[in-house]
Amino acid sequence: MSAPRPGPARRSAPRRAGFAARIMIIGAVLTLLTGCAGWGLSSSGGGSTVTLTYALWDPHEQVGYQQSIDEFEKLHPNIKVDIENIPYGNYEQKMIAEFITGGAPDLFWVNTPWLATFIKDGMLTNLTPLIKASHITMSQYYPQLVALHSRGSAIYGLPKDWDTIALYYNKAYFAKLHLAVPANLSWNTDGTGSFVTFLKEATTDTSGHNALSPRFNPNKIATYAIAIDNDPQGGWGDYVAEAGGSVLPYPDAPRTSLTTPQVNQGITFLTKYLTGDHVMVPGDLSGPNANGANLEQMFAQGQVAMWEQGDWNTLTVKTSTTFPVGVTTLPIGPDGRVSVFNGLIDGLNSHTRYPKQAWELEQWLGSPASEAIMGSGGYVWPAIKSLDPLFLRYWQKQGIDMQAFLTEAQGKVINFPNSPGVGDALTDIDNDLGPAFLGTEPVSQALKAAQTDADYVLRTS
Amino acid sequence: MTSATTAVPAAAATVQTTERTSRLTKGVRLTLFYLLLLIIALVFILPYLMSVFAAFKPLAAILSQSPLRPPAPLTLDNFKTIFTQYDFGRYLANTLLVTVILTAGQVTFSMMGAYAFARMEFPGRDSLFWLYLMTLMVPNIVTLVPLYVMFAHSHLLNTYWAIFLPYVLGVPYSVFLMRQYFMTIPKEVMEAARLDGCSEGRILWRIIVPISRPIIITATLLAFVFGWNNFMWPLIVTNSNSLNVLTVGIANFNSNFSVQWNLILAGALVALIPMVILFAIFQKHIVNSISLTGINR
Repeated sequence: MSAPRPGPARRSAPRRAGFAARIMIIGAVLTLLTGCAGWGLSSSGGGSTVTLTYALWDPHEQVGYQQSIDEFEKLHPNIKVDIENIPYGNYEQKMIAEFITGGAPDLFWVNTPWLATFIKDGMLTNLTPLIKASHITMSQYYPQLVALHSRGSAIYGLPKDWDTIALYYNKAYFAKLHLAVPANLSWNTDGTGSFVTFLKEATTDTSGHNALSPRFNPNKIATYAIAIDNDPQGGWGDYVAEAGGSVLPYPDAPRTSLTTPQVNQGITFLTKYLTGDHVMVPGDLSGPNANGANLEQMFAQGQVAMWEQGDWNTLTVKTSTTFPVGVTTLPIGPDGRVSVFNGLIDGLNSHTRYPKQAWELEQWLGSPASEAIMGSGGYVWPAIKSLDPLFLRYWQKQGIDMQAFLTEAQGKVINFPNSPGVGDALTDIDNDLGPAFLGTEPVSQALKAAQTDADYVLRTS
Repeated sequence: MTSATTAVPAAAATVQTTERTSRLTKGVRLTLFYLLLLIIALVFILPYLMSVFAAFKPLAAILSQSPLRPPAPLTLDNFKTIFTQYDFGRYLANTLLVTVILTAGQVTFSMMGAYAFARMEFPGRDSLFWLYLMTLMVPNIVTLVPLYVMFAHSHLLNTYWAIFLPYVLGVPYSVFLMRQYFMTIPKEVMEAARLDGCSEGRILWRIIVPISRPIIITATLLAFVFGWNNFMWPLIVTNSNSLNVLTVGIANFNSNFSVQWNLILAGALVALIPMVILFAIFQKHIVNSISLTGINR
C-alpha cells in the first residue's frame, strides 16, 4: 500500500463533507416521502382513532382480507386496521415473542396445532360472554368448527373458514386413458377394494402398460396414480380415520392413541399395499422423510395423476398446472369416508389495549358480510354454511369443481388433533413415521416410537 | 562428417517434435484448466440465471419446465403482481431509506470512533479499544433477544428507528477497519495541523477523511450491502407490513398454504438489481475492499 498523500486534502475535503451531507439530505427527503408513519410520531393510540393490528400468514388471503377490512373501516371510521403478514415459518415464535414483550397484535390467525397451547398460556380471550352480549348465532357456523375452538363453555374464536381433504386429478391424463374417475371407490385393510383396482389401472409405465397388466414394469413408471404424503392432515390422517383410528383418543388428551390396530391398518394400507403395488409415489420420491415436498411439482409435470391435498392448495393447483383439473372425494374405508376437518379462527389478544375495538373486528371477520367477500373471491370456504355456494361458484368459473370438498365437510369428518403441545407432537410423529413410508422400518415399530415421543411432548406441554 | 550432417537435422527434428509435444501438452492443460474454470463459473452463475428466468415465467412454467429453459413467452405479470397487490414499491422505498440512514450513520460514527482510538490520546484508550473489539466475537444472534427487549421497553418496536438504530452508531468491525487505516497516516500530519490551530474535528474532516477515501468507500459498501440484505432483525422488530423491507416482503410469500415461487423470484430479482448496479459502479472499489479487508461479505 502506498503512503497516504496529504496533498489533495485541502481540495477534496469540502467535497467529502458535502458527500456526507448529501447522504443525510437524501435520507431526510426519503423520510418525508414515506411520511411520518413508522417513526413512532403518529398518534395511533391517541385521539379518537384507534389502530388495530391484525396478524396473518398468507399473502394470497391477505388480499381478500384487505378488501374485507376496507369495508370494516368504512363502517367504523374510528378504527384503523393494520395487517401484519408474517412468514408462516416464523409465525408461532414471533407471536409468542410479541406476547412476552407486550407488543402482540390485537387480533391474529390461530392455527389448530397451536390453539390449545395458546389457550393454556392465556393468550386468547374467552369470547363466550361477548358472543352472548352481541347475540351472535353460533348455529350459522359448522358445529365441528365451533367445537374445535371451544373448551367446555368457553369459545376462543368465531370460525371464519374450514377445509377438508380430497383428490385433485389430472383430467387430461384420465381422458387419454379413457378412464372415468368414479366417486365412490372403497378400500379394505387387506389391500383390496375398488380403489386399489382403479389406482392400478391409472398407474402407467413408460411403455404405456398399466399396473394391472402382466407387462407392467414397476421400475419404469411414467405416472403414479396417486400421491399421499406423510402428514396427519392431508396424508395418512384420513386413512387412519377411515380405518376407525385417531391420533388422540379425545380432544385435549395428554397422550396419543397411535398403537391401536386401526391406526396401524390405516398406515399399513398406504405403506405396504399402495406403495407395494407401485401405485403411490414412494416415500423417497415424495420428499425428505416422505413429507410431500416434491409432489406439487410431480403433479404439475404429469408424473402423478391424483394428488391428495387440502382445499387450501387450489390456487397452487390452478396456477401450477397446464392441464384441466378435477377434484374427487376420498375413497371409502372400513369406517366410511372420513376427512380431517380443520379451520382457522381469529384469536383476540387477551392483553389488547383495545378489547372493544378488537371485538368489533372479530365480529366483522366472522360475519356473513366479511365471509361473503372471502368466499366469493375464492380465498377460503366460509365457515357460515349458507355461504358455501359463493366459494363453489368462484372456482366453477375458474374451471375447477370443488364440490368434493363440500361433500366431505357435510359428511363424516374428524377434527384436527387438538391438545396442548400437539404441534410439536405431530412433528415428532411425522419424523418417526418417515422410516415406515420409506420402507426401512415396520409400521408397528414406527408407531411405537411415534407414540413414545409424542406422549412425552404432550405430557410436558 | 556425413554422420554429423545427418545428426543435425535429426536433432532439429527431435527438438521440433519435443516442442510440438510440449505445445500440445500445454494446449491440453490449458483446455482442461479453462474447462474447469467454466464449470466453476457455471456452478456460480446458473442459480442466478435460473432465478432470473423464473422471475419472468408463470408458476405453471416454473414447475413444469426445465429451470434452464428461457421464459417463452416472457411475462411481466409477476412484477405487476408484487408491485400492485403486495406493495413492493413501499418495501423498496423502506429498504432504501433504512439502508441509506444506516450506512451514513455507521460510516460517520465509525470514522469518529476510529479516529479517537487511532490518534487521540486519553487514558485507557487501547484497553477500551480491545474491549470494544471483543464484541466482534459475540454472534449477532446472542444479542438479538436483549436488543429486542431494549427496544420493547423503549417503545420503539414497529418503527423505522428499530430497524437501523442498532447499527447506525458504528459497528466494531467498521471501527477496527478504519482505525487500522488511520494508524498508517503519519502522526506528523496531525501534529502539523494542530500546530496550525486545527481542532480535532477539523483534522478528522479536512485531513483524515480525504486521504482515507479507500477505506471509507469500503466501509460504506459493506454497510450498504449489510443494510440492504438484513432480514432477521427487521423481521423481528417490525409488525406492520407498511414497515416491511424487501427481504421480509419476499419471505412473506412463504405460506403453509402455498408457496408462490414466481412472486418470490420476481421479488428477489427486484432486490438484486440495485446490488448489481452498485457492483457495476463500484466494481473497482469492491475489489479493492476485498484486498483491504481480506474478506467479501
